[in-house]
Formats: sequence, structure tokens, C-alpha cells
Amino acid sequence: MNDISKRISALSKEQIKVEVSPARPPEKSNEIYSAEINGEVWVCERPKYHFSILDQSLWSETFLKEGELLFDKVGLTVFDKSGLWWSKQKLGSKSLVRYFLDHPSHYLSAMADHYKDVLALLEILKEVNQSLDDEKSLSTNLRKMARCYQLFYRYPHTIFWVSDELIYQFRTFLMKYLDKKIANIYLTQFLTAEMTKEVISNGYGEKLIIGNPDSRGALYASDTAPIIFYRRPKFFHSFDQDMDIVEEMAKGKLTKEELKDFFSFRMIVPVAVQVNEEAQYIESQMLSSHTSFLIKKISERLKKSPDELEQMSFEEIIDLLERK
Amino acid sequence: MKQLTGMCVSVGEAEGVLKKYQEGVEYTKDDIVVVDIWVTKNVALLKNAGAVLSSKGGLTCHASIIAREFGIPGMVSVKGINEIPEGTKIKVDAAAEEVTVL
Repeated sequence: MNDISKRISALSKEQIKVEVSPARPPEKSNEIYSAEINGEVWVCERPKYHFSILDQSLWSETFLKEGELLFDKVGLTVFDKSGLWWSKQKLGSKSLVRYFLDHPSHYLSAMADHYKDVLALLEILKEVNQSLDDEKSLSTNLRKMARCYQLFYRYPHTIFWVSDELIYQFRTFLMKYLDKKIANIYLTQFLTAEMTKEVISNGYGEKLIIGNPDSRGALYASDTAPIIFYRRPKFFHSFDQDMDIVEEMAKGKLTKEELKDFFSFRMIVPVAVQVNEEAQYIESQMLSSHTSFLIKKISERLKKSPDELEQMSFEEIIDLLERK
Repeated sequence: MKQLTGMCVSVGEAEGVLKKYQEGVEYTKDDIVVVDIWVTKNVALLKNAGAVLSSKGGLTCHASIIAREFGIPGMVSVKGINEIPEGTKIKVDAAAEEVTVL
């Protein structure tokens, strides 16, 4: 743990401010923690999602570096000793939403970069769990899973934290200037995802099992058989009422800034919904199902339970496999 | 007529009889189904229902997205819906965020 991790880990309950976000319902963990360290505010937007040692080792190589990707700044994210991840406010949901409304093309290019990563990880995933005869093949497969996670988690804040806050702000914005019915009819068109269509058309919707809602770790969907499915997202959308809405917005006497925000919302909300929905399926069904299956095989070979293996890094597990 | 409000997650209108969700039951367009927990599995089984309502859940819940894909009118955070007895005639206008007890 670095110095910031240690300081955050040492915080008392009284030093942590708890705020409830209106963007998420209570069932989905809507608390946001914040604390001041060395005059800077750090936030934890998913205080129920504790990542194990295995989880952190599988993906922290890229998970902790999103600040560098987006802003060319290091050290914006850390894990605390309980596996919660904390970020500087710059990567908090409200700050990121404001940033992407001001820079919508940056959002779109980041998500295009993420799309490229998803295609790459799906190719690797097709090779995983094909042949698990010995320690060497188990070790090779675990390295491949680590690579999949490192590709998947290059933009975790942008994909997982931005979506709810962005949609909440967009809804609030539309409700301010439009009749409620018109706002809801327009908004709900944004909130569909190609990946969900794939789930439904293949009948997965009735088979996919929801794991522990308080977990998002690698072994989240431990009872789901390894599965791969995908339908690429749509980056460009046309909605029938677009010009009617623009006319209504103009009548509502928006300021220049508000009109700019409307067009930013218009561009990025549909993409945010899709990448978020897609990411939840990839994370909770595909990556987790493959990792869980593999860890069970490793567990049998090493005679350690999956719970024990969760408390080890993937490098330690590979070391044990390769020493046998 | 008593009117309840909530948040629209999927547009559409429906009129029917209020039923509390039960696993394994096949619902029809005449059923306005109240689900206790807004999770994906429940929603997928409700694809033939007239509308689905819940006192919980959110706009961006995975289940809300599935409701939209199925074209099921849906509302969440409907205060007081759990107190309405089964068998009550209900009208739902999800886009207007209105649930009317007839």
C-alpha cells in the first residue's frame, strides 16, 4: 500500500463523510464516501464493493491508471486495506460528468478506445478454459484472464461511475424544460442497449443469474457456466423527436451553456447507457463465469478452496502452479 | 380516485387488475404486476404483463432497461403501491408517472 492508501485505511468513521446520491436507488449502493487527505478530497463511490487480493491483482495494473489515460495524471486512484477503491475528486462521478459535458468528443474517443479493448478481450476469452489438463495450462489460462481484466478495466470510472449520474442529470435537465410526458418519452429512447437486445434475442435473460448484489469481484457469478455473447454498441443514434425537442428547448429560453449541455447530453448519454450495460454483462457474466470456472479447477489442483485463493494474488497462484 | 406517482422507467399505458408478483405465474396484458425487488429475473418473466410497478428500483437499473426492451410500461419508486390490495383495478400512464386506483 502506498502512503495515501495507508492514510485512507487509517481513517475513522467520523473522518469519512457519507453522502447519498439521488442518481442511484438505495438497493444499488447509493452512498458516496469522501474524506480529506493532505488538503485533497478523495471519494469512494462504491463503498459496498470490496475487492479481494485476487481481484486487485488481476486488474489493478490498469484499473488504477485511468487518471493517466484521461488527464495524464498519476496516482488518482488507490485501494484501501479493505479493498475499496478511492479516487481524487477529479475522477468522482459529478466531476467526470461535468468534464465530459464540456468535452463530449473526449468521452466518445475514450469509449471507442474501450470498444477496441472489449473486442481484444473477447478474442482472448474464447481461448480460456479450453484445455485445463495440468498446472501449466491452468497457469496459462490464469494469465489470459488477467489480461482480459486489464483490458476491461482501463476506464472503470468512465464506464461505471459516470452513467448513473449522467442520466440523472439529463433527466433533471429535460424535466426542467419539457412537459413530463414528452421528457419521459424522449429519455426512454436513450436508455436501451444493443447488448440487452442480444441477451433477450438469445434467451439469456431468463437464464442469467444475478449474483451477490454487494459484490463485483472476479468470483461474482460463481454459479454461472462460462458464457460468451456480444453485440456491438451503437455510437450514433437518431430519434424521431430530436428536432421537436430542439424547438422546445429553444422556446424554453436556455442559456448558451445550457444549450451546449443539451447537445453534449444528446451525444454521450446513448453511448454511456450502452457501454455501461455491456460492461455489466461482460463483468458479471462473462469474465466472472470464466474466472470462477478456472479458479474451481485450480482449487482442485492445488487443494486450496476458492475462498483461500481469493486471498492470494494471481502471481502467487501462478507461482504455486508453476512450482508443482 | 386515488392517484400514486413514481418514476417512469418504460413508457406506455395499461389498465388492469393489480397483482403481487409470484414466481412461476404467467401474467397477461390484463395484469398490472407489483414486484417487490426490481431485479432482472423478475422482469424477464413479466414480458406479457400489462405493466410492472415497484416501490423500489431506479431508472438505470438493469431490470429497467430490460423492461424497455420488452416494451413493458414500467414505473419504479411508486410510493404506496404495496398498500394497494390485490384485485384492485388500476390504470397506469407511465410517461405521465401516474398510477390511478379506479
